[in-house]
This record gives sequence, structure tokens and C-alpha cells, in this order.
Amino acid sequence: MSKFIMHRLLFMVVTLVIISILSFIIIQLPPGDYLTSYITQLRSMGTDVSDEQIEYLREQYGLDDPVYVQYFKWIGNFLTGDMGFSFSWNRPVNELVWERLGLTLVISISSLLFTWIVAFPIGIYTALRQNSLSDYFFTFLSFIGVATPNFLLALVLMYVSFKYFGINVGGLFSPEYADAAWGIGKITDLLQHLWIPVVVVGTAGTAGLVRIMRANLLDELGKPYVITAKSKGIPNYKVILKYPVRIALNPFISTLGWQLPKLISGSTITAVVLSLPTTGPLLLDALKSQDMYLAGSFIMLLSVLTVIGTFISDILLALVDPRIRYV
Amino acid sequence: MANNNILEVENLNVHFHTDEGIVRALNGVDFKVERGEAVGIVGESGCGKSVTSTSVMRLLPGVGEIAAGTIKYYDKNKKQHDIINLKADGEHMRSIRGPEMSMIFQEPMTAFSPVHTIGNQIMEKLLYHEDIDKDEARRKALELLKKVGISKPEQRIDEYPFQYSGGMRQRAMIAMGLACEPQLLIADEPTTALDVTIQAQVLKLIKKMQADYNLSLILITHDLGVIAHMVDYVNVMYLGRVVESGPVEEIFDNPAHPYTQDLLKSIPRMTGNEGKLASIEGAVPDAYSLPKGCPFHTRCRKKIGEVCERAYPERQEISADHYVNCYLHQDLGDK
Ligand SMILES: Nc1ncnc2c1ncn2[C@@H]1O[C@H](COP(=O)(O)OP(=O)(O)OP(=O)(O)O)[C@@H](O)[C@H]1O
Ligand code: SF4
Ligand SMILES: [Mg+2]
Repeated sequence: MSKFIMHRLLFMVVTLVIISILSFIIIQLPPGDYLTSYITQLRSMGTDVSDEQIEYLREQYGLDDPVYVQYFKWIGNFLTGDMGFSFSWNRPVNELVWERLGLTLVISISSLLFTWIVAFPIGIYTALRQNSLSDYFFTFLSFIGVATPNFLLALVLMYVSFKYFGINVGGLFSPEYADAAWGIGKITDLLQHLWIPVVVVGTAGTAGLVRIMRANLLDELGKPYVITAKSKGIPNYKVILKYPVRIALNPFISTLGWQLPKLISGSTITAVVLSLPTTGPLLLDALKSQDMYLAGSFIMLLSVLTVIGTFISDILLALVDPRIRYV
Repeated sequence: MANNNILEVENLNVHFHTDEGIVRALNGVDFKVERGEAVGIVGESGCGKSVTSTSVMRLLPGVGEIAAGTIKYYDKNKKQHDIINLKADGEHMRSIRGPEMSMIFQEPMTAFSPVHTIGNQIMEKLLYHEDIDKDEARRKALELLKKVGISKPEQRIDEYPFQYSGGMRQRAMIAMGLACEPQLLIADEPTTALDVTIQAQVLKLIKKMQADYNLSLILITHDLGVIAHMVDYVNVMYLGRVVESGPVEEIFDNPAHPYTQDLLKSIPRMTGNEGKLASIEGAVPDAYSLPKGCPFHTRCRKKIGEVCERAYPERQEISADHYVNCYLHQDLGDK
């Protein structure tokens, strides 16, 4: 097992180095260096920038150094949490990202939990009651769920709640709480807004997961090892939970790590439609306005999470399936 | 007369309700097992051997229905249990499944869960039925593994099925079957999936366990060659019925049913004609639409004539404990 982990760790480091180089190239892609555009921007806003100031900035960002030195400076800064400067926001990138990360995680993790808590029991139930009326009902429901685009569901929910309840549910906070300090009132307000994105983001995932869980479990239920377990006199429900459900869950447990990057970038369109202050729209804006430090850092961050997620998935997979652990 | 039977199956009818229609898998199976006796069930693939054994264990899948018949089981205290009328997953049936009767399956690889250790799967049975703690269960499982000839059981007990060889897996399966000391062991083609050399070892082990634990044994196989050394009494099945039954020497020396005679001819001999398996001519009719009369008449070389197609031939005792369902052995009179 430890050999397995070492192997994966090494693999992870190599991947990360390659990704960081790619991210750096992306940052460097627009013509001219970013300082030129920064200064142009400052001047256009009426700020006076002296030549010494420019010189100082050039030095600080090492723009006169060879490219590889610049790369090492950038990656060094990145590792210490300094992700450069966003020109369109006129703020350090890390401030922007951290600010939105918290709320993004709240939404993503809530939707993930929502998805799993709803999907697994229904998946198990429909598999055990295959071809019953309730199975057909949930099957119908989940097909609708899978087929409805998230943004459409978002629009419908917003329309309905505005029209019939007079609540404007866009965003995560009511205007009076948007800039308020955290407190009971703000948290309650957040929860009132949170359910819509959670339902919107969670629905398609839930519906898909119900189908997969049902199919996985149906595959397992007829397997000989289930009959063996029953032949030992163990009650059905115990047999089903210990053996087929456990094995049908393996693919989900093992892909848990892959949810990591999705937690940050996922459901951008929904976030835009619902005007949620999450990271998805931020990345979209950055790409649209060629805010390269912001975009590059984002891509770097997402890639790091993907690689770490894959690493976690590999370890989990080895934990849940001994056949991989012992190879 | 004191009844020394452990199992009595009468007129067992099992149907499967499938999308394509009703499969009549068993159409009146009769057989019995005496206490301590080894009984064989032979027949071609699809004749209903596995359905018979899973019905006795009440492990039929949801689409399978016991349409008629009786299954009587007599436990350690000779108390009679009416298996058919028990709830398949009820407490009563489950107290029989395990401590009274247990089963060994054909494919030991798929019959064990791939993600639980062998020890875990054996101990589960012990822990469920016996009032013991984990240490005690582990001790018992180790003992069983040693008993079935697994070397280094202390190490093997914590290994997974894929780390065992095929033969060892089947040994572990036998160990699991013996846990809780059942009275009746049903082995459904226990060696079909194994190498020929391993087959003999596993059969020998089953025979030894039968003696050591004083077991009653039902051995299911399509290989009459295996039957000869293993059992006292043979039931020959064809299309969901027992068509001939008798003591093993009787069946081999005086087979009465044309089907049994054909089966015997198809045993591969070690001398001459090597590798040439004389198979029975004709295809097995499908179980959706069974032939009327004697079900074998579509392939029988000795078919008498129209009489064989009219009604199912009644059971005749042609010598002591030797029964056959065939018009060749009935006084046809003026029929
Ligand atoms: N789950 C099921 N659904 C429908 N039909 C079934 C099912 N299980 C068994 N059958 C049918 O029952 C009949 C007997 O099957 P069974 O498995 O008992 O045969 P077998 O004698 O054990 O054959 P084999 O030597 O191949 O194991 C077959 O015709 C089969 O198609
Ligand atoms: S009853 Fe007739 S068809 Fe059937 S086995 Fe006997 S002789 Fe053949
Ligand atoms: Mg079978």
C-alpha cells in the first residue's frame, strides 16, 4: 500500500509541474507584458504613474528577467499564496478567490450532500422494488430531472418564487444583508436563498445518480455471492446492505476525489443565472476580459485540485477494493 | 417404522415468471435423502438440478415460484419442518439455513464477495447463529480452514478470495458450509469449475467431511463419473422430473430408463475413444412448451409408440429401491 501511495505521489508532483508551466504560458499569452496594460489602465483612470514607480514594479515582478526566472518567481509567489494582480478588479487575485471560495464551497457541498442523501436511498429502494409502481414513478421523475437543463430549472424556480411568494431569490443574500456582518440574521437569510441553488444544482445530479445506483445495484443483486450470503441464514436486509450495496457504492466512494475541482468551478451557468457570488462567474469574467493573472491562477488552482482529487480517488479506490490494493 | 429420512421432496413444481412466459422448470420432482446418506442428482444442463436445490434452501429468485409440492426437513432432534410453508426470509427458515442445511456452489470465485476477507465471510455465519464473540468465531473459522486443508490458516484467514487459488477457494467454501455444523450439505457442481487434478482432491475432501461430520449429502452434477465414487443413491433428472432413481450400483449395472442408458454411454472412458464423448442425440426441448406424455419421447431411441406421447408414465419399482418412469417397464395391457 505504501509503495502504491509513493508511486501516486510522484506521479502527482510531475503532473503538477507540467500544469504549472502550462498555466504560466497562458498568463503570458496576451501580447505585451501585463505591466504595460496595468499602467495603461492606471493612466486611463487618471492616476499618475512615475517612471521610478514603473521601474520599481518591473523589478518587483521581474519582468526584465529571462522567462524561466519569471516562471520560478511566479510559481514561488503562487505557493506562498500570492497569485498576482487582477487588472479588471484592480485587486490581488488571492483576495478575490478566497472571498468567493467560502460561499462556493457552501453551495457545492450542500448540493453534493443533497444529491447523495436523496439519490442513494431512492436508488437502493427502486432497485429492490424493480418494476413496481414506485420504481416507475421514480424512474419517470429522474428522467425528467436528467433532461431538464439546470439554468432552465433555475429560471423556473426564480419565476415561481417571485410570482407566487414575492421573494426575489437571485443571489445568496437579500440586499439588506449583502454587506452586513455575519450574524444569525445573515445566516438565516443565506439559508433562505441557499435552497434554490442547491435544488437546481442538485436535481440533475440526483436524477443521474438514482439511475446509476439503481443499475449498479441491480447488477449486483443477482450475483452468486448474494445467494451465498443468504444461504448462511443472514436476514435479507443485512445481506443487501453488507454485500451488494457496499459493492454498488464503490464507484462513488472511489470517485469522491473527482468532485473536488467541481466543487469550485461547477455549475457556472446556474451561478450566472442566479447571480450567485461564487467562483464560477468570476472565472468566466476573467476569461472574457483577458484578465490573465486571474484566469491563469484559476486554471492552476483547478488543476491542482483535480490532481489532488485524482490522488484521493486512487487512494479511496484502493481502500474500498482490495483487488487494487494488492496488485 | 421409524422414519430415518432427513429430507423428503414430493411432487415439487417450480415455475419462473419471465417476460417471455412461464418457464416450467420443475414438474413434479420426487426424491428423499436418508440421514447420513449421500445422494446424487444427475442430468443434463437445464434439467432443474440447481432449481431443485435452491428450492430446498428456499433461495429461489423473486421470479421463481413453488407452484406445488411438499418439502419436509427433519432437524437434529428429528422435528419435522414443512419447508414450503415457511417464509423464505423468515426467522424460522433462516434458523434452518446455516445450522441445519448449507450449500456449496459451483463457482467459488463469484460465490464469495470479492471485497470481504474469507475470514470475515466465514465468521459472519458463526457470529450470526452462535452466541459467541469475535475471538471465538475467529478461532472456530481458523479451525475450519485447517480442517479443510488450507495451509497457514492464520495468514490465509485475512486474505481475500482473489488471493486464493481455485481449489483453495472451494476448500474455503466447504469450510464455510461446515460452519455451524449443519446436518445436510448440498453441493451444486462443486468441482465443475476446477482443474481435473484439483477436482479429485476436492471430492475426496467432501467425502471425508461427510464422514467426519456425519453429514447427509446431496451432490449435484452432470457427470455420472463423479457420482460413482461419491454417493449411495442416484436420482436421474430430465426436464424437471426425476425419471429414474436407485442405489448407485443398480443404476450403473441395470439402468432402466433409456435416458439413463444414454447418459451412461456418454461417460468419457479413459481407454479407447479418448476425448470422444458420445452425446445424446437431439436437442433438449425448451421449458416453455414441454412435450406431452413422456418428456423424453422426442429423443428416445426405444420409444414404444403413441403411448409414450399420451400421458406421463407412472413410477414403477422394478427392484428394491429402484424406481423408473418409463412405459418400457409398465404392463401396458390393452392400452
Ligand atoms: N431465474 C430464472 N429465470 C427463468 N428461468 C430460470 C431461472 N433459473 C432457472 N431457470 C430455468 O430453469 C430450468 C432449470 O435450470 P437449472 O439451473 O436448475 O438447471 P441445472 O440442471 O442446474 O443446469 P446446469 O447443469 O447448467 O447447472 C432451466 O430451463 C432454466 O432456464
Ligand atoms: S416412456 Fe417411451 S419415450 Fe419415454 S423413455 Fe420410456 S420408452 Fe422412451
Ligand atoms: Mg446448475
